[in-house]
Amino acid sequence: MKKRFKEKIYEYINDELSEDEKLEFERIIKEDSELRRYYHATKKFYTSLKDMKEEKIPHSVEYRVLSKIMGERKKRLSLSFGFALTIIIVVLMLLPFPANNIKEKISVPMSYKNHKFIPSNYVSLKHVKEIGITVYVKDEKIEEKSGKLSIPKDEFTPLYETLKDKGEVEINYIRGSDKEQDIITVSIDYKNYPSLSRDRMLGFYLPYIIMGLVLISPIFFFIKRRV
Amino acid sequence: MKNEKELIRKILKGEKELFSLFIREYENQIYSLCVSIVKNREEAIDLVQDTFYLAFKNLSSFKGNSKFSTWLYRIAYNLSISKVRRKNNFLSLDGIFEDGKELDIEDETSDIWLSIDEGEIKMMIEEGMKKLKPWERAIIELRDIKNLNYDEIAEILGIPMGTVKSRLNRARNHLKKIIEMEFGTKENKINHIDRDEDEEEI
Repeated sequence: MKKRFKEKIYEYINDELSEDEKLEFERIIKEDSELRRYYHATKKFYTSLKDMKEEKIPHSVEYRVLSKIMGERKKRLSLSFGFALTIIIVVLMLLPFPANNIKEKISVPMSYKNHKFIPSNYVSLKHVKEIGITVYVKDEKIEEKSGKLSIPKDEFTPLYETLKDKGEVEINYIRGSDKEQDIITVSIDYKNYPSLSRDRMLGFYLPYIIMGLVLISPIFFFIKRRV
Repeated sequence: MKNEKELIRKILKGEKELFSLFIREYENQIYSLCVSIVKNREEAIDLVQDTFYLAFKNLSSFKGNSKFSTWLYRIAYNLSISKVRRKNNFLSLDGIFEDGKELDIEDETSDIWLSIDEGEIKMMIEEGMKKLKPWERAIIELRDIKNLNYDEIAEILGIPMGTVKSRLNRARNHLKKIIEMEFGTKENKINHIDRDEDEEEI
């Protein structure tokens, strides 16, 4: 009974007992002087305990926590930005080299035969998909031809005899005028689609590769830190 | 705190600075729990900071089934207990957690309580609290100082409500006993000094 009484004592002080339990408890206090003394002692102890105040924080952590939260956001933003930039660079690196429109003009005397026209040296005809050839006589367009390389050379006749795949256009015969002083302007448009080839394009891509690696490098540190 | 759910919704949507309202509201309560467990003010401040940071990071996992303060207390309690465990190097766990056996604390009626004044009792309680085990300090802090209900305490400590009640009684009785023993020692010393002085006079 004594043990049960002691268990109930805090609940009695906190008014957590049911009406019946409360009456029973009060009856015991009245009847048993030892338990009554014990109750008063415990009540004094417990009232003081409940009267204790919460210890207040010496200084607020608001600034520190918010800085950490916002700092985390900045870090995440910069990482996202770096990551997005890396993706863009990688995509740019993988994109096909944009077509170069190379316009070369050459003026040749009318009677000039077997004239060789050599396009820019970095353009290989094996990458040339289309060719357009326009012939002007005294700034007057007299003929315009275009077609795929696979088109038989006969299609370019009678103006052009051959179209060789060694990066040169050979003009063998030009019809149209007998006057030697007439100037014929031959304008050739190339559309160039080079593929990535080790010897020609590495120099073009290398700066992008280095830049990409530099941009990606923080991700490795981040992964290492997480691990 | 009113509209906690609405506030949480806004924070999760990106208005992160609103989280400071939670910090202002609860930092004192969280601090007093942490300091009662770790018994070190600087460490308690760090724990408060960690509690709020962890709460912010896991805010989306708060489902609102309990009060936000209860959820915060639970984080703070777990962090503080982990801190004490680390400090004790995982060795003396019995000193941190109860081992499930009933602590046999003889709670004899002591008349000393009737002779001490309230101010002195409070001082002795403060000293006595330091000698309790961390879980005892935590449970007394939550129930008798913060006046949390048993349901909330059960959720914070992760134990059934019946266990909360029995542990609470044990912790209170332990504290009472510590004070009685301390007071007894003090009284003995005083009596001893008085007796020595009397003998010298003779």
